[in-house]
Amino acid sequence: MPMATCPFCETEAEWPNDIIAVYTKRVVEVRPFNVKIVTSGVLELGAYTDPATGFVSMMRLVDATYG
Amino acid sequence: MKTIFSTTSLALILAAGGAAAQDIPQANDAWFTAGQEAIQAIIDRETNTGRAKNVILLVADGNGVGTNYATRLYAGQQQGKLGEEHVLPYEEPGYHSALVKTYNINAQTPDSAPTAGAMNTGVKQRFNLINLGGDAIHDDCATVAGNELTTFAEIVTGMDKSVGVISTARLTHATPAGVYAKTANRNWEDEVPEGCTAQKDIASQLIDQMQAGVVDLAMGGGRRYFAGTEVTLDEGGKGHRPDGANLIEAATGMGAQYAWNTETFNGLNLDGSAPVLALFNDSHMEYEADRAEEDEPSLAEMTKAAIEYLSNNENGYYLEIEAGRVDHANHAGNAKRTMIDGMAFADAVAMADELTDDADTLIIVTADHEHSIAFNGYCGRGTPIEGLCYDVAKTGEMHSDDLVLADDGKPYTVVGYLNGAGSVLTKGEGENDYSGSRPELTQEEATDIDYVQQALIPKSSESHSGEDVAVYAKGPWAHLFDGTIEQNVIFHVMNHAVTAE
Ligand SMILES: [Zn+2]
Repeated sequence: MPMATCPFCETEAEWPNDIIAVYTKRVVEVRPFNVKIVTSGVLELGAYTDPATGFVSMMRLVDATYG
Repeated sequence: MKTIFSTTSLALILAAGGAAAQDIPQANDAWFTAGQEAIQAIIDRETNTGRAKNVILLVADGNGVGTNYATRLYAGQQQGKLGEEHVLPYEEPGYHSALVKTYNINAQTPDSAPTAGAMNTGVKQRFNLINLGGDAIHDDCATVAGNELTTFAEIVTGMDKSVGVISTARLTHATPAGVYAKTANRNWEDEVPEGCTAQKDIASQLIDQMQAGVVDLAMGGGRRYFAGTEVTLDEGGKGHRPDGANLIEAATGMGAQYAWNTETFNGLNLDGSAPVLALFNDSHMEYEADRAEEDEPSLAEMTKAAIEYLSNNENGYYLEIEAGRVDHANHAGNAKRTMIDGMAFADAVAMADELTDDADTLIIVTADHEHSIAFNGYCGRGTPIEGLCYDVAKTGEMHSDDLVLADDGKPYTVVGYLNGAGSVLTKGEGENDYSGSRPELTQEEATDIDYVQQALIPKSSESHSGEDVAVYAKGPWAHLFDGTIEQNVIFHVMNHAVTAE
């Protein structure tokens, strides 16, 4: 489900609890947020901190491609 | 105007009318007899002009007439009915009703802060403010002093009644805050701007009102606004308060009981001797569709506990109950979660009605505002309200198996939104180059719990609308709800009911 918050109801965006980090094989070409994309890759489980962004994920898709 | 009638012609008209009702061919049709029974139920409705000992105000946030229609059909279809004929608990003939105009002083399209304030103080308020008079300005702390309004909770506390507030949203969110807070900005949930001393943040105001003996019971979400950023909370999250204050400890320190999950909720002492603070989630409580029974109680379970607790006061109580996430699922353009939270709200209404006596308890069921939700046609009876529109069948009642197709040759869902994340327009190369076509859609995709309805105007969050909501009521003075009223009139019915001689 695309993230949507009430601009007058929320002091800040809520972090969704059904999110998964996706690391793509190639540089991502930006698509509008309301366009569905299907992605596939290798599922990795366990804590991992991205050295470049500091983003912590417990589960992620790596080497991903999308269409 | 010519009003002279001969008595003979009047008698003839009456006689003809009487004969027609008995002899007309549809007289034995089930719809006809059901219609007769319906007016008899209205005739039999009692007008209660006694004094209300208790007042329960149930608000489903964002549940306007359209959203409520969706929930009615969904609830009926979950029971195996076609859906359209279903009657929600507060749509029973025992309830009086009216339409409500929800706009704010300066907003055609309302937000939940001034709407909750209107119901709790008797006057319309300004967009994004809570319980401050019309001279106060949004986000301006300097306009707070002198503009604070007296709340219904404060009035009934003066009558030695107890006060409770329940929400599936954060307790510091607009609708529950309407019971106890006065703020120039609804977003000052756990901090106020530097130099602002005329008011405290909303969470602090709740604890102050508990200490002052105004609020006796508060259950909902929003735990992180009650503890500092260094505090690790019950479920592992962090507090959010920049001032570092631990308001949960402050509450328990003054004798309040604290619950944070279903187990501790079940362990609460409900004999009314110690105040209750329950914070079941760091932010909002879960959508009903995602709620695990062992994690959080349902809205109906919280309602039951609150009524049991508050009933210990022989002088009565005021309880506001909010289904806060009907609004959030609408904002997400996700009709299915909207309807499931709407059903949980209906269960809470039924629970409140079951546990109270119509003779001394005024129950009011309403919403604060509607959304930009809309409904497509022409669908046959029993079309799944959360799914694609099926065609009308020539015989019988049930829809045909053919999906109705739009001029683009594609099916569409019954529920749509005028704006939102489900917009069929997507951004192209240019700055304002939005265009699009509707995606293909199967019934399986459309009825998925995460499906986001198609919308027209692209917006990351679907908006409220200014359309009317309904109010339903039973108990003392409930019959005052009639016609089309301003939202602040709801307060006046409550106030009249608790003071009637
Ligand atoms: Zn909202």
